[in-house]
Parts: sequence; structure tokens; C-alpha cells
Amino acid sequence: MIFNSLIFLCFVVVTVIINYLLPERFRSFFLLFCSLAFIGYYNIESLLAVLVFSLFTFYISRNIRGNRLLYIAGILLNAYAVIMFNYFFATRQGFDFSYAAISFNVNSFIIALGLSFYALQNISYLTEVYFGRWQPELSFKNFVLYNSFFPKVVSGPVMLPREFMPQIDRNVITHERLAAGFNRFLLGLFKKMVLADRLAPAVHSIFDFGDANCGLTTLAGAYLFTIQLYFDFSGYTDMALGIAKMLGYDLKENFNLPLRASSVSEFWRRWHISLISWFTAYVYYPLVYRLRSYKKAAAVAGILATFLISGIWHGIGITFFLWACCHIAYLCFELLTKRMRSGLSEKPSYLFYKLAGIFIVFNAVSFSNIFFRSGSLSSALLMIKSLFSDFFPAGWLHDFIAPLAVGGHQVDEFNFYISIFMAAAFLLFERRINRIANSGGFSFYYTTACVLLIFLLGIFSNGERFIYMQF
Amino acid sequence: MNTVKKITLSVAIILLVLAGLSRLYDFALRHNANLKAAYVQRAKIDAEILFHGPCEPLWMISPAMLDSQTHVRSYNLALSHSDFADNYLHLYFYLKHNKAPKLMFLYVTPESMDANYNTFNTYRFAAFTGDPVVDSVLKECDPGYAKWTAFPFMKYAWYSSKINFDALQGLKHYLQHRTVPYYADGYEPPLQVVWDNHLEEFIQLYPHGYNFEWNKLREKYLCKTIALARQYGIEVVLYESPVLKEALLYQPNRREIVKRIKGIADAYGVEYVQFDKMKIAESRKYFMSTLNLNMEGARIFTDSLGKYISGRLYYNEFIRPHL
Repeated sequence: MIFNSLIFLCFVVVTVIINYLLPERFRSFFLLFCSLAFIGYYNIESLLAVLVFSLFTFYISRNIRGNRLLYIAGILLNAYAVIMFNYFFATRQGFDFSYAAISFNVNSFIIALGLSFYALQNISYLTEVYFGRWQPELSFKNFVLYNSFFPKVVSGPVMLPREFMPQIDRNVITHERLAAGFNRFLLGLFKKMVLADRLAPAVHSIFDFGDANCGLTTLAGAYLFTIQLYFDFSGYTDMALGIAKMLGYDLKENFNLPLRASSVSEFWRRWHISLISWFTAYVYYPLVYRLRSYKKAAAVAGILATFLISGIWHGIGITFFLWACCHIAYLCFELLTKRMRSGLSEKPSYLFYKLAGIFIVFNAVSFSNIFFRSGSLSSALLMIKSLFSDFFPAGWLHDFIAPLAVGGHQVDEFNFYISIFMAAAFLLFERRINRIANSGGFSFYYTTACVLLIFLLGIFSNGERFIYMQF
Repeated sequence: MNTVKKITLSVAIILLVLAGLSRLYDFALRHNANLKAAYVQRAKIDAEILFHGPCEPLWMISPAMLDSQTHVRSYNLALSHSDFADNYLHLYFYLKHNKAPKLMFLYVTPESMDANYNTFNTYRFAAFTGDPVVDSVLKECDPGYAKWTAFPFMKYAWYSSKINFDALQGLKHYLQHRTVPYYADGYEPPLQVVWDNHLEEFIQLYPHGYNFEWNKLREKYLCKTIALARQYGIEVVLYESPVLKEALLYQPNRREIVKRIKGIADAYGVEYVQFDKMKIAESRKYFMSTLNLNMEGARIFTDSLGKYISGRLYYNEFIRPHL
């Protein structure tokens, strides 16, 4: 049951209505039931995984105070789960256990829905409790709900205990919240179905059949993937935030116009905010604090550790490692040239500096995303090589469009141009659209336009899975 | 205006617009001369010979070339990426509005029986839902789609990326009073005429060869297509055009599947003709992929096919193709 499926839409409508009608004291029970049903519908192994990890973490948290060994054991258990999850995802292998009539494949157990997201939450929960910044949760039901809350279990946002737990027992649903949640959900659906999934075929044809791409095609592929990834993930986040709001919860924002960032550090303050703030709080700051006497070297070490772990979190493989290396290089460069650049920014006009910054950051991020999207090192290197040879051959546009036209003559060209137009128009008016989507009232024009555009241009049939579901 | 009124108005407008759009798309798609499903139901084709199947006959058999040889009118009803259910519905549409042809050549190979090759293209029939035959096929071949089509406009929204362009084109055809399709006799010369490396990729993917999987639904609709044709008194010939010989090395169970196809042909008392002994099957220079001949290869094959058909029509005997 993926977020952009019609069955999920029905599930959300029913859940929101029943949750709204229920007395406040029963809502957490109902939401727990719905969340477990949602995970169980995906696969039973995922349901088992969330219950087992919650049980372990819950038990450890009750006895963790002053017990360093237990704290480390809890952290390692959750970190190990993430690593194993990514290892099995990368290798697509598994161990088969057979004992008498029981046979069990570890692979299917490990590839559990949202494990790497709630494992991070568990680590932060144990850390907060261990250092006495948060009281251990007394209710197992509440703790399981914290891990399994269905709007966020698939791909976050990663919530700290202090951000989520207090909301469980203070669940207020107003008409304003319902309207705001609906607006946000609709925006997410639009981003996913009309923008991200429409760009997917072009990205797919360039990255997956692009042995002979020229430089400009590779560049276009990298740009398109960056935009697709943004619409896909931010669309998912909008839907998650919208549903949660309609159920009486506020989840953390994950995106803040990241494609308008004029530096890579600013980009990371605007992109996947919940994950980066988690890494900042639990990896970067502790390390920099420890090494504070080394000044800039401490910050460099912090960046190095944060992004290497972030790379491993995204996937075990050389391509994710190189993606992380790109961002380490960008951020270190920015750190070390900060003073020089601050002088530069005062010379030309602010607007020019800002626009140049946006252009450079978008290119840098798109370049790193070649590693992120490529299935293997060889195909990533092939694409990068093409950037520096035969960049703009004659008849480029025809050759660029040709691979998109898989059996469709002008249909695919038509779709491609519509997708580009829609994406560009959205990015141009994004701030204004976001303002309407975040408003608490029912907007007649916004709702009507969104729904009609989804029906007219949305991809219903083979809706793509969300890219971040694999992490 | 209060919120309840706004919501009601919005829902009403959305439903109204969707219902209106649905009507508009129905109209536009039925007027698109380039859509075979629509064209064969509007135009009087009345061909004596039909060629049917997926992209192989579509790209290889030129009725214009054949007609000069056989002196009878033929039409190419084939469609790219189509399976037998797709073929069945197109034949059904054709026979609804046109006189039954004498002969129908239906392309059948082991690939046709395997669900990994080609597919049922639901979107081609979106404008014709409501017809009980169409609805029953849709329900069987694309149940996910069939479930949601009752919702206004959903039958078009479901495959919008495939349909919007066709609807716009249909509207254009209506406004320009265009009734003749871009490819009037149904034959589409292939866009790609160079070797497409498909075999190399195939070998890389299946170094030890690929075993075809027999699909029951394909079998069912192959039988239904033959039965429908025979119901109208059409003589059916199942055929396989030349397949690149070197590709056969990577298809261990091809013979076994061919045997099963022959079994179906025997059961219905129809002929299964394989043009596998033609010399062109031995050289890549006549192919653009393992199953698709290029322009030159297709010309040689069509010539052989023309001789076969002439023999069949005028002498009622089988003339063996050039070996």
C-alpha cells in the first residue's frame, strides 16, 4: 500500500473520519491499530520487525540509566539493524535458515518497512533517556506508536521523542487542522503524481539505458533526477505531514525550498532536514565538541563523520560512498573558503551572487546525484566521462528525445515537454503554492485546480514507488 | 461563502468537469484516425486479407507491396507491443464494422505465449468501455483498471500519459475533418533500422539462455481470436516470420513451445507456417533485432509471403518461400 495508490487513499479517508469521531482517549489505540495494520499489509516481517525492535528498545530504555553497557548495546542493536538492512538491500542476498518444518529467510526479515528510519529514532530515544534529557516512556503502546505511526513509518520524517511523544496524549483535531492537513496532503499527491512520476521515464531512459549518452544528455539526466528526487521525497513528506495533521499530530518539516539554496551548507539546512538535524545532534556536534581544541579541523572531522555515516545509512556501496565524498568535499571547501567568499558577496550585486550560488549548488548537487542514482560505479563513471567528451553534438535534441520515445512516436515527446513545463512552473511559484498548502482554510481554487490537474496529468496506473522507500 | 458551501461547490465542479472531460475524450478518441481501434470502426476497409499481431507484422508487412503481388486488398491490423487479448479486441472492432476478410495471418511465436513479451494495452480501449465484450476482456486482463473505471474520468486518468496526446490529436482530426490515418493501410515503416543490440543485452542478462514461460491467458486469447475469426468464416493462418538463427542458441525450449503452438493450430484445424528456413534468417544484416527484420529483410520476407498468399488464393497450394 504505497502513498499514491487508490487503496491507500481509501485507507486514509476512513482512518481520518473514524479518528475524528472517536473520543480523544481511544485515538492512540486506534492509530496504533491502523499503523500496525498498514505495516502488516506491506508484509508480516515488517510488522514483526517493528514490534521486536520496539520491545528491545523499550526494555533497554527502562533500565538504561547509569548503565553504559546497556546503552551501547541498545545503540549497536539499532545501528546493526540499519547496516544489515542496507547490506542485504545492496547485495540482495540472504541467509536461509531451515529447522524441521520452519524455513526462514533473513533477507525478507531484514528488508523491513521503514527500519532505518525508526532505528534512528530509537537511537535518539535511548540517548535522550541515558543522558537524562527525557523520561523513559511508561506505556509500551505509546512507544510502539512512536515507531510505527503510519504517516511517517515509511520514510520519516525522523522525529525525536520530545517532538512526538507529548502529542500522543494531547491529540486535538480542529476543522482548521483538517483543512490544513488536506491542503498539504493534496500538494504532496500533486508533486508525486504530476511532477515526480512524470519525470521518471526520462530519468530512467537516461540513467538505465544511457551507455552512449553525450555530455549534455548526462547533464540533463542529472538535473532531471535532482528535480525528480526533490518532488518525489518532498511530495511524500507533504503527504505524511498532511495525514498526520488530519490525525492530530505535527510532524517535523523535511524540506524548505532546497533548490533555492545558494551554498551547499544552506542546501543541507533545507534538504531532508529531519535526518540532517538528527546527524547534527548525535554525530556532528558531539564529535566537534570533543575535538574543539583543533578548531577548523574539528569541523572537518565532523563533516567527514556525518556524511560517511549518512552515506552508509543511504546504502552500502561504492556509489553512496562517492556521493557522500562529493558532499564532504563541497562542505569542506565552503568551510575553508568562508572568509574569502564573504568578501566576494559584497562586490557584485546581491542578486547576482545569490543566483550564481543557486546555479553552482544545483550543479554540484546534481553531479553528486549521478552516483546516488547510478546502479553501479561503472555506469556512474561512464556518465561522468561523457560529461567531458562530446558535450554538445550536432542534432542533440533529436538524439535526446529519441530514447524517450519508446514505442510512442510523439506521445513521449509530448509527455516530456508537459512534464518539464509543469516542473518549471511549479518551481517558479513554489513559495506561493506552499503558502496556500500550509493555510488552515479550505481554498476553493487551490483544491479544484490540484484535483483536476491530478486527474488530467497524474500517473495513476503504474505509480512509481517512492525513491526513499528503499532506505 | 462558508466552508461547507465552498467544499460542496468544489466537489460539484470537479465532478462536473470530470464528467464533461470524459465525454470530450470519448468523442475525441473515437475521431482520432490514427487509432486503429477507432479507425476500423469508422472507415470501410473491407480488406480480403488481414495481418494481425504485435510489432513484427506491423513493421514488416506492407499491404501496398503485397497487394501489387496478390491483386487483392489487404490491411495490416497489427499493433506494437500487443498481446492476443489486444489482438482479439481489435479484430472484434474490425469485424463489427467491416466485411469479414477471406484470410487472416496471425503472428504467433514462442515469445507471443510468454507474458514477459508484449502486453495488453488497456489504454487503447478506454474510449470503448461500456461494450460488454470490451468490459469482460478489461476485467480479465487489467482488473485494477476495470475496478476504478466507474469513477468519472478515471478510465482516462488511469493511463493519462498515454491518452492525453491521442485525445488532443483526435480533436484536431475532428476539426480538420481528417478521416484517413497517417498510415492508411495500417503498416508502419520501422523508425529504427539499425541493429539495436538487443541480443547482446539479452545474452548478458541470460548467459545460459532463456526458457519461455507458457502463459495460460495468452493461450486463452489466442484460441478466442482464432474462434472469433472462424465464426465469421475467415481462414486463419498462424505464422512466424524469420527469426535470427544465432538467437535460437539462447532459447533452449523454443522447439517445445513451437510444438505446443502447433498443437493449438491442429486443434483448430488451422495452419502454422514458419518462415524459419529463409536464408535471411542467417545474417544479422537483415535484422534490427532478433525478431524484427529491417527494411531490406522485410522486403525479402514480404515478397516470399506474397508468393505464399498468391499460391494460397489462386492455386490453393503452398508455395515454399525462398530457401
